[in-house]
Amino acid sequence: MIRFLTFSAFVVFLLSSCRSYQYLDAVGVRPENAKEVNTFFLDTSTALIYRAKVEAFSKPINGSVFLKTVSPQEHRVAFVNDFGQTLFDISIFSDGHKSHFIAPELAKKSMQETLADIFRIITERRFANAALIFKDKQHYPVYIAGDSYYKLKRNVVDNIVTVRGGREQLVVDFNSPKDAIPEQIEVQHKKYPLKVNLIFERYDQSK
Amino acid sequence: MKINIISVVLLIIPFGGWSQLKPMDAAQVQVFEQSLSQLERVQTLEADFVQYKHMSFMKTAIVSKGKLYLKGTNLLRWSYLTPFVYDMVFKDGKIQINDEGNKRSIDVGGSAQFEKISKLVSSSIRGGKYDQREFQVGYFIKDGVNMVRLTPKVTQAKKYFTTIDVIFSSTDKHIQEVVLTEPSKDYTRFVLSNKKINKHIDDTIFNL
Repeated sequence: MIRFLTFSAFVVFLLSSCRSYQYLDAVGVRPENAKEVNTFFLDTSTALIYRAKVEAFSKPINGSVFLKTVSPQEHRVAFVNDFGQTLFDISIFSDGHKSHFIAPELAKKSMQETLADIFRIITERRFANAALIFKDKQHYPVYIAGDSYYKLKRNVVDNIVTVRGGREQLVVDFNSPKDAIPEQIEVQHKKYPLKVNLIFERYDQSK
Repeated sequence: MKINIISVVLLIIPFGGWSQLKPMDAAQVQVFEQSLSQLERVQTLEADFVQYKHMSFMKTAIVSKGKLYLKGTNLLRWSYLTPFVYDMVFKDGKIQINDEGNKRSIDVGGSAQFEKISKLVSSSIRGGKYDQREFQVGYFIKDGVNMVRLTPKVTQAKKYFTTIDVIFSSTDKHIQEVVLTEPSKDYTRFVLSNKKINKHIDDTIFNL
């Protein structure tokens, strides 16, 4: 009996660790020639200010998110709560991040990495080398860049799903009626009870 | 005659808008403390406030506006009115919050910065003494008005602020502005205006 249970546990572990992610209704993959899939945050001439509502572990936090494109490969993001207290101010690169300020309650390494992951996936310019094929959807462009799936609408990104270990990790929805910048961004973390809702407030214009 | 840029800059500097910060001498401190002690008669305060958040990498500040109500030593209400509506009442060791109709209550201390500023505004309004165990207290004249600079001594507070400047009005001698500077040098200014002192404030203002 013990040998059977041990074997069963091993099989379950093996199956779950080998499981690959299946995008809804996709039936195959085709190659793509370096398709640029997130072009929202390339303009270095101004910064954007979003009204932010965050729900983290059942705790609501309201404030403002400042988002500055330093270069297509570097974005600076700060979150300030409604009382004017900076909660974090980080520069995000494709392969890491640098903290300018982080409030003591967010200083845990895993928390910093989670925040950097969220804002990296929102802002990062990516190029896809593959696209999904759907059986019944002829014009349903979903591109694959690394571990992320980018669904485009009117040729701008509409939804991103990042996948880790065969499971969805982050789901990002953009609402961009004018296509220039997202008016609204919603992020849902699938591992932690963490939701971020950003509503565009204004450009950082200028002295 | 050739006038180069450096000469022009050197000429302009003395007339520029740079803040002049001068430590008070002993006599000035004494006069200032006397003026503070007269503020103890304040029982209520109603004022407008503007909050400016300055980030080094942004060109413009985030500006929020609202109203402040203070009654006695235990009742304080901050109402943000633009660009969002958000109410907070400090009462019985709790902060009651009304966030666009979503009401909740948290312990005081849930927001380190706000707890600090609320205590400072409350005590400064009444000419309260600053806690020398918690802060190194410096007295200055800034652009002709009195300013107290509080530098946190406690490690936990140092993580949030390097200095807290409390600036007093030259006309009514009451608190005019609080500036909280963070370790990153980013800072938040709270500027009070339209102060109404010792006018009746109904207790219902502090019910959310």
